[in-house]
Amino acid sequence: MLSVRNLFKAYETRSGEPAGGAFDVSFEVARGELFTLLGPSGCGKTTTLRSIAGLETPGSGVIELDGAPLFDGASQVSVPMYERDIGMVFQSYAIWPHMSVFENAAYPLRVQRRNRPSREEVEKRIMRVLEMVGLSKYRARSATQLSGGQQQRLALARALAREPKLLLLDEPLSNLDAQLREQMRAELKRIQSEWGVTTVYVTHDQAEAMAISDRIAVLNQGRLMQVGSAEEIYERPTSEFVAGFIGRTNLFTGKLAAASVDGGYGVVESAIGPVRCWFHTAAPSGAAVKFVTRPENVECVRMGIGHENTFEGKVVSRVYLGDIAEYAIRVGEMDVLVRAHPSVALSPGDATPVYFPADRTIAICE
Amino acid sequence: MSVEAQRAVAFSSPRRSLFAGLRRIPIGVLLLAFILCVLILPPAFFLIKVSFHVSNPDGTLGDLTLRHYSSLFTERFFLPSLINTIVYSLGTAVVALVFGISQALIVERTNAPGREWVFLGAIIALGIPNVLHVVSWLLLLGRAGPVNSALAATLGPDYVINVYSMWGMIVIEGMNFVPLVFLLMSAVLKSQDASFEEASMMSGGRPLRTFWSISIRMGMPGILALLLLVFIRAFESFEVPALVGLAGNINVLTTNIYQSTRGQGFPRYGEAGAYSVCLLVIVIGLIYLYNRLSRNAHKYQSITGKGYRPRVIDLGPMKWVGTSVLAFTFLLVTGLPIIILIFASLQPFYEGVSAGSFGRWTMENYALLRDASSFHDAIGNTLLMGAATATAVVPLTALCAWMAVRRAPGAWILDQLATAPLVFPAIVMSVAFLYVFVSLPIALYGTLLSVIIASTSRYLPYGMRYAYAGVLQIHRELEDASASSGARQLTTFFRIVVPLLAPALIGAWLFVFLLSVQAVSLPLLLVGPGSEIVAVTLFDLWQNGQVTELAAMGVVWIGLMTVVSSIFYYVTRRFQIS
Repeated sequence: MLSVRNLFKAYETRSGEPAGGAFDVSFEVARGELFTLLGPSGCGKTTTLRSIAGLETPGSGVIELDGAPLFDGASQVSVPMYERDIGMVFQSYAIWPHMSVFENAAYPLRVQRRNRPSREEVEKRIMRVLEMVGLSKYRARSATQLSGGQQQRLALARALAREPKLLLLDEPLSNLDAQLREQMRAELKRIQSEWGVTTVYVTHDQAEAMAISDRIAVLNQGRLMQVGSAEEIYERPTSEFVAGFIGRTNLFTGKLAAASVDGGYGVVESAIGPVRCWFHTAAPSGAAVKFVTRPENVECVRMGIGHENTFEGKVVSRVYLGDIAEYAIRVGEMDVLVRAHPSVALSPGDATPVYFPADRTIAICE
Repeated sequence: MSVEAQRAVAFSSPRRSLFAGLRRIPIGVLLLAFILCVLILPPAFFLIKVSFHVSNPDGTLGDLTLRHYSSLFTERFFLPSLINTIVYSLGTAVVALVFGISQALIVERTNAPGREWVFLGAIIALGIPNVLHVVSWLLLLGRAGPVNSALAATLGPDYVINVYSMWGMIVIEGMNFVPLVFLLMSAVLKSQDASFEEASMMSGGRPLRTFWSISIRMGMPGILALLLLVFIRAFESFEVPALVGLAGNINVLTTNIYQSTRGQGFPRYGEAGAYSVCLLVIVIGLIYLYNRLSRNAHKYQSITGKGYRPRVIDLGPMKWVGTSVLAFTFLLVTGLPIIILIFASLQPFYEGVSAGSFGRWTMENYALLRDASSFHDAIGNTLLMGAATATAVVPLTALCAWMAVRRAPGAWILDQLATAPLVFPAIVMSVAFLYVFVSLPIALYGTLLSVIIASTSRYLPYGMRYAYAGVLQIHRELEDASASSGARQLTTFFRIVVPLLAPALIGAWLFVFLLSVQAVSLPLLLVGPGSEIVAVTLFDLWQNGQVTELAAMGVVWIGLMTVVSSIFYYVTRRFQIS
């Protein structure tokens, strides 16, 4: 449906130093999919989104929608943004204050050049969209009288008004307060799947990305780090950055004892001893390897010492958080972060075995 | 409740007697208020007084009378003048807005090549005295000018245009305000979230449609305020009415005032006073309206989000159309006037641009300037006057602004006082100070000092505006930290506030300097032998028909002022002063 290939767009400061952008970004979005670009600020996610929208002109690369090029650096094709069949919700919503709710939503139909719909048609279609976002009873209201959440719905209604092939959402929830954000998140997901519109969603909030997305692309410093479902990204990160950016993690370094295979296990010699890890890709024997494991996957009590991936540890600190208890446990020279059920009762100074399940201990070969 | 709020409440508390209230006011505030009163109250007082008294031929005042006012409304001069003034001001505002806003939209929102050069054009225009601008337009469009000779040659002598007419006044004054409208509008666009326009483009709106339905419509409150601003400035303008209007027998209120004091026979001060008071009242009304409008101008800006980033709309091949519009406007506003001035300055006499005139180059006019001591005096006087005015205005307003922003008890009056001269049209100010100086026992009338005093009073509001904005940017705690380190108030002011405020103050100094050295109408009635001012000299040279000398002097002066305005531009850019 949407295909982005080798997208380059570099920014410079006035003095010519590089200032972010997107470098060699490629991904495909399937029809009806909700695809999220996730990353810290300045990672290139908004640049990528704006390039798809046509608000930025990439330096090179190809952007195709439904097989037709929107941009092609090689053949100098660049469809102007107003001719791309794309709806967009802006971070600031950009609701025009001088128009009513209805007029805001109807604008895309009113400016249409080819087969502009009749008055009745506009009325029918816009009321349907406003109905869907729950704003139909505010149709005559001035846009300045809307709350933040209502503006957000209106922005969505406007983006969907002409039933575009593609919907772009640029951090749409970042201006809402926490409670409203969760509610709108669910509603966005509902509308998106009801409407079945292919969507590219930009956010820096990993929880939001995981809750809403079919697939997530993680970007860092303009480069695409990993693409996958929320589970894949969280459970099996391929890079230190992805592991660290999404959730908290324990990071170890070591050396691979024997060559590993794609999608198999291998043993890494680390400072705390030999650890069996899961490998995305094959690596040669003796390669320097890092591995990560999530605090909630580390187990403290089940296994006895001597079992695979089990090490002697000593509790350094305990923080009780109600639903969970967080421990720092010293293993060798390392403090390992462990999140355990609050019923696990360990006190600082206690000795405990620490177990790293091999299928959730992920080797990273960068 | 904050300390300031408590103070404010305490100060405004009605239970407190006036005397107790006065005692709470720091001596500094009282002193500043006194200085401001000395600068502002006498002209207002004398102006009103003169308008209610019979003026004797020897300049003294006779009995109390209402005759000056009653004659205003009975004579058939006033109403036509008022109508002329309104038509002229409105026309000017429309012309200036059409050109200025298109320029700003193209520069701030599109990728038209060469758009960044427009700022340079606006800066050069800032350095051209109004009187020179008018003169160069008259040279272009006048009877002997190149436009008319081209028209006569192609269409026949019947198609010659008469620039000494209402439309001539409107076009010339309109062009004059284009740089101002451009700078203000581009500042508005810069601060406006461009995603409103992006949203329109993403909805399928083309650039022109987007400009019309979104940029212009959303900017409407601001544009109306801008329209009114230019209207007010044209309403109180003097150069165009004097140089264009009078020659074409089109009278407006400001030229009526001028003619009452400088017309045939002895000066009719009472009549000028009555005219001035009327003009003053109208301008006060307009400024009140403007303040209400411009408060509304920002109501749309409040709902923009944080996703702000300046945007460039790709016009595609249309971008060259944008560049052409910019180039055309630049040529009209800055290019052609300067070219014709340079041309005229190199001619022995001016009779338009013809084949013959290209064989008659001469440097004589410049040689004349080099040797004429009166010219050197005028330049020296003007630079001295500008520097003295700016040096008086800036520290005074810096102190006032600081006290007003920090809400020293009673300091709100400083803000009010320093902003008050804004309602005086320059020619009214000139008349008012004229009365003050002729009534004073000391011989100030006709001296450079009198011009400096009047200019200081006139440009207080401009200094105030800069200083106020500057102080607002300094966080209160920076000063509190100084106080808690044991520094006294004045020490805090000089060690903390002044250094932090320095960029704004330098900007204010240059701005006041630029404004004061260009003014014609303010010093016009005040200068005498030995206190010549460049702008007034240019005005007189034109009246005497010494066009080529005027042009040479103008070229030299524009060169000087471009340097000053470039420094001004650099300073404001460098330190991001609004």
